[in-house]
Parts: sequence; structure tokens; C-alpha cells
Amino acid sequence: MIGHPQAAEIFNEDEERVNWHDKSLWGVRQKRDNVASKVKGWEELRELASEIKAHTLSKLDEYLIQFEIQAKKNRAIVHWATNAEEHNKIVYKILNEHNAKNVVKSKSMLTEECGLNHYLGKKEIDIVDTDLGERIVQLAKEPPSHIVMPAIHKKREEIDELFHQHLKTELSGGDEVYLAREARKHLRQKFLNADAAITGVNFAVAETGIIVVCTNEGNADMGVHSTKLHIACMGIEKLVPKLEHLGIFLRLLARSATGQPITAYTSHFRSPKKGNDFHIVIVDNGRSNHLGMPDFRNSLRCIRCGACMNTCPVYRRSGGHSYNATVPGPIGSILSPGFDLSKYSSLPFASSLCGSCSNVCPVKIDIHPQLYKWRQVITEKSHKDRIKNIVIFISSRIFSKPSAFKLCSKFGNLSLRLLPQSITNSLVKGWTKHRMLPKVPENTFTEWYKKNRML
Amino acid sequence: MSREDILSNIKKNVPVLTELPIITYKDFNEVRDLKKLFIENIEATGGKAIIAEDKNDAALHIKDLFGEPGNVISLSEGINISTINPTEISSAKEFDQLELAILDAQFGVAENGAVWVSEKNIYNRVIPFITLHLVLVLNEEQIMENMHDAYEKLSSFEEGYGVFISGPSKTADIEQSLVIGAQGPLSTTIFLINQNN
Repeated sequence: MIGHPQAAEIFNEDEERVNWHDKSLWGVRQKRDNVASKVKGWEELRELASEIKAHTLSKLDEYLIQFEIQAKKNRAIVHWATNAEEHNKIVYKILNEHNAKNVVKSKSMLTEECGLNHYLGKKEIDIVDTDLGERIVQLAKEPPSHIVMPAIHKKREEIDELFHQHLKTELSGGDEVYLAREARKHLRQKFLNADAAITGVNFAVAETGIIVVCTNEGNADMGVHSTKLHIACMGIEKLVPKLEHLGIFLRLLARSATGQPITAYTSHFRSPKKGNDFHIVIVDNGRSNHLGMPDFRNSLRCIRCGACMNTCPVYRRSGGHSYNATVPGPIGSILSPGFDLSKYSSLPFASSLCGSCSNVCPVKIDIHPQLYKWRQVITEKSHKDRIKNIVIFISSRIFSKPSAFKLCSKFGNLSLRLLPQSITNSLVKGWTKHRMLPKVPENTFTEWYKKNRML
Repeated sequence: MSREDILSNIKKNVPVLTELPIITYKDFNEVRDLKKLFIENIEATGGKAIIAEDKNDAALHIKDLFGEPGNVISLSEGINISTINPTEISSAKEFDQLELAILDAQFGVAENGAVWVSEKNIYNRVIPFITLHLVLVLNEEQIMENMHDAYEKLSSFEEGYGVFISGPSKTADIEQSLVIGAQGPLSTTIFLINQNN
């Protein structure tokens, strides 16, 4: 598997696309700022959300048990899966018991993480993603590139072509209304002929056993209410203690995600309709181990709004696919190494550590300090980058001896001024790819200081 | 057993207990014209808000807006224009030709233009989603300021299903261009009625 820098390089071959991608996401960030600034006590809300999540994680085992008891009282059937494979097996078993062959699914990053579509596909089950963005990437046989806007990397002409090929639509030049209406017709047939619906879970309330699912398209509800079987898949970290806490999280979620005050639908599922079945699959898949890492456990507070991606200068210019992880961007870069350090070792370096991610995070996860800590863990474990190690070794010698430092800065200043640009640029190859080296001053700082300090 | 494995691993790994914060929800309230804010936010979601004198007035507005739609279910008492009896229908497929559904909403939320409807208002859970157009009727005195007030009201919520609906279904999955009408209704209209009339 290639690392983030190599994958980002491929994405950056098309400069126009990079600029377009950058701009679309920045637009979403601006919408977020706009609505957040209208909320009285926005910062207090973030603080409360952060504290509630911290508390929940500190007695997560008890809250999960409480949730299970309540959910069972509500006639839900609760399952537990240690890992992705077990999750997939459980879902398949439930579907199989109901003889369900056609399944509609609303957005769930957890089922992406577990590779559910691929697994069910092999078992001859037709599983259709019903969020438009997810349907687009499913038809394109790609993973989502963003957790809230799965097809943010796709241009309208590409979607036009994709629909023309798979849904037999007319080529429209990418007319969004035409394409969305065609998708609606196509998905409506899928809903009406489905045997079962799978949804993710935005929040699970321990006190009541309720799960909450947020969508703009109405696709989760269309699926669940059209079928007799609802399977909701959730990670162990989705819990909140009480119903009243939803007020805090729902005020933050959509505003942070897309700049809307709330999603079009915020559905509360407690019990199945009479005669229907409601299953909840609670999945660990590495999360309980992550909880045991004091430096990194805070990332489990994440409510998957995607604000850190929209604001991240690296994400915006490298695209979600370059992270090669279910959750990309800054939050993905601190979550993924906890699950597989060697596979995701390049991700914590995909950041300028500017801290914008931490500033927009609605649950105040210390994202950029964690990125920095992961770098230390990774650097300690691997000494593969020999050149970097040599450079660090030499630099430490130079910086620790004033005489050596003076000599080198004088020499450096002279060579930067006198050598041709082709040579100086090649010294810092990556850096000068999209920019020039700054003009070198005539004196070193020490020389300048000696001359000017008396004035 | 996976359940025990997961729970024991969590127990082993949980951080030191931190307390739940003390929350004073009223600190988030402001002095605002709730009705005005509510209407503004409905319009911002792509929905329509109409002030009606009473249900008869609402029924007239509905006629203006939708003409004579073929298949209508009204579960709002006093707006008796149903052409379909939902009790005679059992599967979603049979609801697919539904053009207009008129339902009562229990309360609205000014800060985001959402209204709360639950099982008792909708008869069949699929109705508010499968209908082509959705009309929700709300007593204008039932407008909460924010989501904290809303959940206070829902503290005794015991039903199997309930949903906040804010405007029509929509998507921006094609190049961030907003399209009203995704997998649910193409339009959502909220009638604000003064129950005292």
C-alpha cells in the first residue's frame, strides 16, 4: 500500500481539480462558521459535549449494559461483535434468517470500516447504498472520500457518465436536478422491493435504549419504514447517557458538518413497528483497545461531523482517498494508527499541525497534539527514513555548538546567495515544488544583531 | 462470548471516572421573536411556512397550493380531504402513489425550523417520507426556542418512533449543489395555526 505523500502526489497531478476540491470544502467550512456564530454559547456547547463524551467513555461498560437492558425492553435484539468479521457474520445471519436478499443501507461508516458490502456481495445479497453520495461511489466502485459528503471528489460530468452507464439516464452535462431525480426514481424502486434495511447510528441513548439517525435525504427512514427488518450497526463509542444530552449534540452536529442548523430528518428509533424486527449490532473492532491508550483515547469522542476535514489544508488539497482509510482527514489520522500502526504510519504526518482541526471540533478533541504524539510513537518505532535520521543527527551537532552553528549559517547564507537556483532548489526539493525560496538577506542574523544592537 | 470480552476489555481500559458536567440549559436562551425565527429557519431549509387562521383556512390554502391531488391522506382533524384510508393499506408499496399527506406536528423548534412528529401523528411511519408533498399543521403556541427546550418537552417520550423534520428532503451530493427533494418528499409546508381562533 502506498503512503499518503505518494497518493497525494497522484491527486495533485490535476491542479485544476485540486483547486476545485479545495474550494468546495472551504465553502462548507465557511457555512459552518456562519451558523456557529449565530448560536449563543457555542463554545460552552462544545465544552459540554466534550465533557459528556469524556464522562461516557469513563464508564462506557456500564452505559453499554444500561443501553442493552433498555433496548431489550423496547423489543430490540442486541448483538455484540468483537471485530469486523464477526459484525459481518452477525448481519448476514440475521438477513439469512429472514430470507432477505435485497437490502437497502443508509450511510454508515462502521459498515464501510467492516467491509460489509463486499462480504454480503459474496453471499449473493444485493446491498444498495441509498444516500446519493454513497450510491455514486458505490456505482463507481470506490470508497467514500469524505464521511459526510462521500462523493465530494466527483465532478458532475463524471456522475453524469456514471448514471448514464449504470442507470441508463440521458447525458445531461451533469444537471444536478435531473440526476438527483433519476436517482430518486432508481432508489425508490430499491426501497419498495427491499427485504431489509441497514442503518448506522449517530447517537445511542443509554437511559432509554433509543438510537438516533440523522439524514438529509430521508433515505434511512424510507428504508426502515418500507421493510420489516431493521438492522442498526453502531460502534461502542456512540453512546450518550441521557435523552436530554441529544439537545447538545444535535445543536453541534449538523452545524459543524454542513453548516445547517439541523439535518432534515433526525429520527428516534425505540421499538419496531408491530410485526417487524429491530436488531442492534454493537461493534468493538479495536475501539476498546484504543480506549486503553491515554494519549489517544480522546479521539473516541468523535461524532463524525467531518468539520476537521473541511478545514484541513492538507485534506482539502490531497483528497480523501489519499488517506486510504475509512475515516480520512485529521480525525482519521489519529484514529487509524490506533487500529493498525504500520498500515497507517504515514497519516499523522499528513498535517501542517496548524491546529485548525482542533479549533473546529465540536467535541474539542485535541487532534493536532495527538497527531504530533503519533509522530513520536511512529518515529521511535521505525528508523526506516535514513536520510531524515542523518539530517537530524547532523543538525543536533550543529545546533548544540555555537561555533559550528555560526560557521554553518555563514556558509549557508553565502551559498544560498551565490549558487544558481537550480542547485539551491534541489536542496529542499519537495518544498520548492510549488513555491520559490525566499530572498536571502545579505547578512546572517548574528551579523545583523552585532551591527544593530548598539543603536 | 464477544459481549463479555468487549465489556471486560472496556472495563480494563476506561480512564479515571470524570463526572457529568452540570448543565444550566436556560443559559442558552435569548429573548427572541420565536415565531419569526421559526419561520425564517423553515424558509432557510427550503420549506414553506404559512400562517393560517384556523384549519378551514389551512384547507383553503392547501387547495390553492396543490389543486386537486389524486391521493391524499389527512390525519389532521378538521382538514377532511383524505381520498385514501390508511387503515386499509399495509405495505409501503401501496403508499407509493401518495401525493399529499397532512399531519399534525406536536411542537416546533425556532432555532432550526424543525417540527416534532411521532407515531401517534403519522399512523404509519412511512407516510411522512413516501408522500410526494408533506403538510404539517402546528399550533403556533407550541414553538420552543431551542433543542434543549425540545428535549425537556420530550422527557416523557415513550413511543416507538419519533422524528424532527426540518424542511423537505434534500441533497447536495452532486458538486455541493443543493437539490430539494431527495429520497423523501419534494416539498414540506408548515401551517401555523392559532388554536384560539
